[in-house]
Amino acid sequence: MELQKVERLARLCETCPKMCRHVCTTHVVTHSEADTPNQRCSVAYQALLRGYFLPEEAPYMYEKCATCGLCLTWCETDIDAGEVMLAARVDLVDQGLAPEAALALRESMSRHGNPHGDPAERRFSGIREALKELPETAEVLYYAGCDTLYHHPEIALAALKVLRAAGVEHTMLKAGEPCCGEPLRLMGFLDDFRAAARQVMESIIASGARTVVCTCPSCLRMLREVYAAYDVPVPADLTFLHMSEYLNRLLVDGRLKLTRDIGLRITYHDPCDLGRRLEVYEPPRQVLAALPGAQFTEMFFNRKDARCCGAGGGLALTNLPLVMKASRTVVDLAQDVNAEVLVTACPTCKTSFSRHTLKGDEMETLDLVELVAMAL
Amino acid sequence: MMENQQTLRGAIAYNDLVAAVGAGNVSRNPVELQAYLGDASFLGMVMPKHKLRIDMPDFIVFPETTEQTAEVLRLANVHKLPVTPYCGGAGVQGAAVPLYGGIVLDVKKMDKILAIDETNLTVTCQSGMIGQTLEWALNAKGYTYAHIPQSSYCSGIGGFLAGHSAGVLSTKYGKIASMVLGMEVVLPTGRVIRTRAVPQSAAGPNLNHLFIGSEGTLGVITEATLTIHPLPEVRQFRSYVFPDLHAAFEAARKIMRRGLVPGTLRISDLVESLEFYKQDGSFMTLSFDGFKELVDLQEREAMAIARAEGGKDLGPEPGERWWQHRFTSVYPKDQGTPLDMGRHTFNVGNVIETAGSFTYLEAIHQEMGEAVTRIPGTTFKAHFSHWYKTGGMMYPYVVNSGAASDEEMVDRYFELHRAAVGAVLRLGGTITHHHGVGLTLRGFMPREFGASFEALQTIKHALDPNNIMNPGKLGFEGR
Ligand SMILES: Cc1cc2nc3c(=O)[nH]c(=O)nc-3n(C[C@H](O)[C@H](O)[C@H](O)COP(=O)(O)OP(=O)(O)OC[C@H]3O[C@@H](n4cnc5c(N)ncnc54)[C@H](O)[C@@H]3O)c2cc1C
Ligand code: SF4
Repeated sequence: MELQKVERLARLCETCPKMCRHVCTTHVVTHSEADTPNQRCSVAYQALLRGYFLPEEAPYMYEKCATCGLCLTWCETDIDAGEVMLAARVDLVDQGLAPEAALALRESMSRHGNPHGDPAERRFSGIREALKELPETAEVLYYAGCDTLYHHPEIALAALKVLRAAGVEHTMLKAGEPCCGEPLRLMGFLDDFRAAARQVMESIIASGARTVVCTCPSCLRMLREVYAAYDVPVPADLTFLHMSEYLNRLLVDGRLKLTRDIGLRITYHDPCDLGRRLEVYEPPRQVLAALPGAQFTEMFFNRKDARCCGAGGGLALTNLPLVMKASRTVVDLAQDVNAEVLVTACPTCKTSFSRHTLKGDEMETLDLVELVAMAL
Repeated sequence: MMENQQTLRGAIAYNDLVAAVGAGNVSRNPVELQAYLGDASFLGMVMPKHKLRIDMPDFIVFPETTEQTAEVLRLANVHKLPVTPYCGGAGVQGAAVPLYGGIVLDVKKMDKILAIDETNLTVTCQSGMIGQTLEWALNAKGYTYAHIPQSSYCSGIGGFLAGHSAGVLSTKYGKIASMVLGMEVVLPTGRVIRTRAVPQSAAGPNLNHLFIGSEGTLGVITEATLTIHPLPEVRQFRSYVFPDLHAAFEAARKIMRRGLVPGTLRISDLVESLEFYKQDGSFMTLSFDGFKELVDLQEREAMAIARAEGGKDLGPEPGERWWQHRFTSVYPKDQGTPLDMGRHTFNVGNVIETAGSFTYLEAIHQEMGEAVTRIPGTTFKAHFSHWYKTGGMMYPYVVNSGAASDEEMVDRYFELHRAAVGAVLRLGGTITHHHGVGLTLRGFMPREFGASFEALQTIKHALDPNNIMNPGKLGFEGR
């Protein structure tokens, strides 16, 4: 079983008195003992000892872990219960116990090249005009990702606007930007994930770009560290950056000038993959500090302690009610500091928060690059 | 499990419960039932893996309000189902183990802060809040409730109250009982009562104290008003090593007698001092918190006392390090957990912690040590924390290994308790200072209470005529 690879994590975690239950994204919403990293690991460990999962155990592996890394942050044994869940999902796929949502996702990936079931030809429909202006090849490649292109093209448009304003020679994978494959990994389809990852790397290499900039932290994490961990060859001379890191460099180099007063009270949510996973905490804050007229206040839980929007680990597909509740807790924290804009740096987080903060409400959710575009 | 899931009786009970709290708040899912089988006790967590199977509960119920809680208890009386209140499930005595199946009533959906009163320094919250969640909410406003047990991340307010727990700062801020002004409790019959949340009162006995430490046997605590404190300006540590345990004890006694108020005051016996702190002698860590001038003054006074008793000053660093890593020991390790260190090697010490007067606390250490090490394969060491002007608490660390079978391990587990608690009771101490009674110590309750145990039983019978609340705990009747 794939779980054999994480046997130690599951075995040790099973014996813990739940020292991270107070931060677990699922547990703080449902409050059930079953919804704790410890219990999920216990279920996985018992399945490993038994040699198979029982059907009623599958939902606990698929629907209850956002792979947010909060447990790891609080675990002095350095256990990432999310890793155990991902291994369990691989075994559940093998056992034919993957849920409908997982199978539908795989089907959508193979038919449409994205996890949402959206037609492939709509991939660039939100940015079609901007795309026309881009050259065929360039030093900097903007890799937008499915969530940005299908759900938040405004983020991509803002990104392109800012890059243009800074005079950066840039382009996108115009011929067809493939999905980074992360949803397949999250749902337990490792072979499909590796195939998707190889396709992405081939496209990037073929583009001739030297620097790849992402607005989606999950895409970035795949490129920067996860592909290599799954033996997908990644050329050492390619640089992968999050947009916040790249914008911060442009600001420091004086290439990007922000002049317009935005006059807003803002706070910043650290996305799990950007913060806890890639440890990019300061660049987004440095960019926000450069926004003229922005009044910035930290939320009580920030940086490594930032709460998860709930949509990690594929939960937006398998357990939307939980995502709604988890994201509400972050919005409440932003309201506690009286923010007008809840800034994030991840399209998935934006989707989660925007369900509560509609445009025109007292608080709005914006991606960091959108605010930067406003300040040009 | 009472086979409620398969019987008509069970189906009716389930539907009644759903009517009371909603379908989303009643679970019969086997994966969820399994998650409530035990707590963090040796009996509830480790034993089932070796030998002693625990029966499944029938339903997990998550009331969201006091009214729903009351309705669940009323229904439990109708169906004669046992009810085990469950908060963090991190009790170490098995008090939350649903010994007779029935309903596990998880209070954690009642997790709201109802009011923070900054003028009168109180917080009123529901009982399902996890300790650290409450602490963070208060910290965000510049306050603390100063109840920081090692289980702050995994236990909750209901468990702290029903388990009469003590945080690491209890020497200054008291155990949970001294933090409570008022409570709301649902009595076993479903009747809701409130005690008056006032600073003090002489209007008869203080009913709060009936429910604090009641381990879910007398009702469900749904709400509490607790004292809070502005976050201290500073917290300063100082450590010493004394020539022997007696000298350290004398220093502790004189520090308390002088009217100094340390947040923490921990003394390790010679074995622990050497093993944990690499010190030859008896190691002491002290901390004071509050505003700087007062903290400095207290630290100076304590230092003078320590010096007079032969204490060597080790400076602030060992105490700071201890504070920073004070939760570390409870996380799982490759070499085993604090309770279960590999096959047939286990620790019972954490559930035979005791308190007693200065006159005999040292003798308890001596005699308990002798009594438990007579049992083959046993080692003994201890620390002392949670001090009062009148005495202190001893927390032993008793490890036994080498039992030849599961059966022998179970026998040794109970034998060690008999030996340790026997020594405590002989000398005048209590069977537990803060971990409660649960399953392990229930048999000692008549000896702890003497004739007054009958009074306690009479109260139990009067409040819970059908014996639905956590039967078999605190030494009360089972089913
Ligand atoms: C790692 C670790 C460290 C610990 N450190 C300390 C420490 O420093 N100090 C200390 O005192 N203890 C400590 N403990 C023990 C434990 O935290 C306490 O016993 C605590 O009081 C249990 O709280 P809980 O929420 O986990 O309660 P549970 O285990 O859920 O319940 C404990 C008892 O209270 C009852 N109960 C729970 N909620 C209610 C309610 N709302 N109304 C009525 N009855 C209720 C239950 O039925 C049970 O009888 C530690 C435990 C662990 C695992
Ligand atoms: S992840 Fe670590 S802290 Fe959390 S339950 Fe597992 S062992 Fe305990």
